[in-house]
Amino acid sequence: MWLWRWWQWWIGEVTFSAEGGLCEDFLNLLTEQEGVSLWDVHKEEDRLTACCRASSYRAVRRPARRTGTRVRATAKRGCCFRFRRVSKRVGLLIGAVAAMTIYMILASYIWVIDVQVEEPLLAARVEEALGKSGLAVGTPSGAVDLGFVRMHAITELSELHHVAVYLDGCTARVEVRLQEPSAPLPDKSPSNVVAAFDGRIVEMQVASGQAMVKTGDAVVQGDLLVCGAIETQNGVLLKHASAVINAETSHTFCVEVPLCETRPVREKRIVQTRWRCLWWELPLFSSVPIGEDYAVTERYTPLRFLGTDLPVGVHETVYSAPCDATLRYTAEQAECIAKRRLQAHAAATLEDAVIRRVTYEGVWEDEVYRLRGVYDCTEDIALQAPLLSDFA
Amino acid sequence: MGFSKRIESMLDLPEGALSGELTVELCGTRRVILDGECDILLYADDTVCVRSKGQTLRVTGHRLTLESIGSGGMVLTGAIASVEFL
Repeated sequence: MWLWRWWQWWIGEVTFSAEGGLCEDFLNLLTEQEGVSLWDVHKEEDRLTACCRASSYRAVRRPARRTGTRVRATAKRGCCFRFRRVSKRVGLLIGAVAAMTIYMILASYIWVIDVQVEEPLLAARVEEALGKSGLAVGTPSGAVDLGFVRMHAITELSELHHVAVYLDGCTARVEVRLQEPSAPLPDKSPSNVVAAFDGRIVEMQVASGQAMVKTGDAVVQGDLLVCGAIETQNGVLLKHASAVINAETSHTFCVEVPLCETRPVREKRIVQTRWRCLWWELPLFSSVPIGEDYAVTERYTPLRFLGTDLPVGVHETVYSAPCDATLRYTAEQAECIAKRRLQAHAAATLEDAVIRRVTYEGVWEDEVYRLRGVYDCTEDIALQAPLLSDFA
Repeated sequence: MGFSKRIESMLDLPEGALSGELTVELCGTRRVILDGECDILLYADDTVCVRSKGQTLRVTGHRLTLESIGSGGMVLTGAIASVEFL
């Protein structure tokens, strides 16, 4: 039904009323002799209302005269009537034509390059590579050879595994897949297993090689735990020793926090903003000298409409540099910071260890708080070491 | 049997397809479709009479409306009470 309504609106529709005369004769003459189609015909007492196409309305008058019916148009709907209303305003017409022309011209250019990759640095490099092959903002869509652009991007950037470029209106969408790093081959060369730390062995699981220690033994760093050279009846057999040797170990870490220290706490930032429209950029900042120690980050935020990036947006250049600040702590703050730093360091260092017990010992010396932490752990102390040259 | 009726019969065409005879199609009690050339004899809120090739058809009911009308037929809607040939 909506399609029929839309068609009626497009061709134009006139609703008219007919009074007096013989309405049956009027309808017969109108439909058979004039060939006019009517719809929504209603009759209320002596008054008939009906709808017809706008182009057929002129034909209504003749049968009306012949049957003595008075006809009057009561409503006009449709695009032709609307257009007629605005057609007298020449400025509007010229504006509409100009807008349509500009739209048609601009629609044939690429205004947005959407590189679908998470790393912004790589996205910038991909855009640069695309620009070299002829795909840049402001390029006519018809002048872009997508196959060449794709091949050029792949050859230019070795880390890319797959590049797909396709045009979506004024947007060039670039899908990029990176080369997946191949897993390193397992090392199977002849080797020993030695102790990575001092400790007392509590559990041993030797997968390959000959165990040189047993559970309960105390070892120091560098002691041979599992030997990769096995003596057999046919001579010495060299193997890649591998084992899990869990031992009770002890680690000591120390941090110092002075009451007054200088630390990089924040960044000096200078943001230069530009409005971008198509390929023009309007700077919204005054020029200031910027030192060479600043790191530069480019950021572009396009205006979006219904999920589509428009060729209008904000381009920001962010200059940032670390800035040191002198911090003064109270004694309580210093102790708290020291403990936090020590814990963070221990967590990072003893990532794979099970911490059984921790003891802290803090002292003040010349306005510096020294905190010492002893971590008793259980961990795997097996460390691969190359075989001695006598065997190898 | 006329020539056009004979052709209709031979080709298994719907009756009246070639002869221009009035075809009446009823859709429940809400709509009557009249296919073929016909003249309106009477058009009122409760009665519509049409004539086609010497036959007169009367449709009675309430709130009868001509949904569409053209040279090839008409569609009548409303609460249809009866359709009869006079």
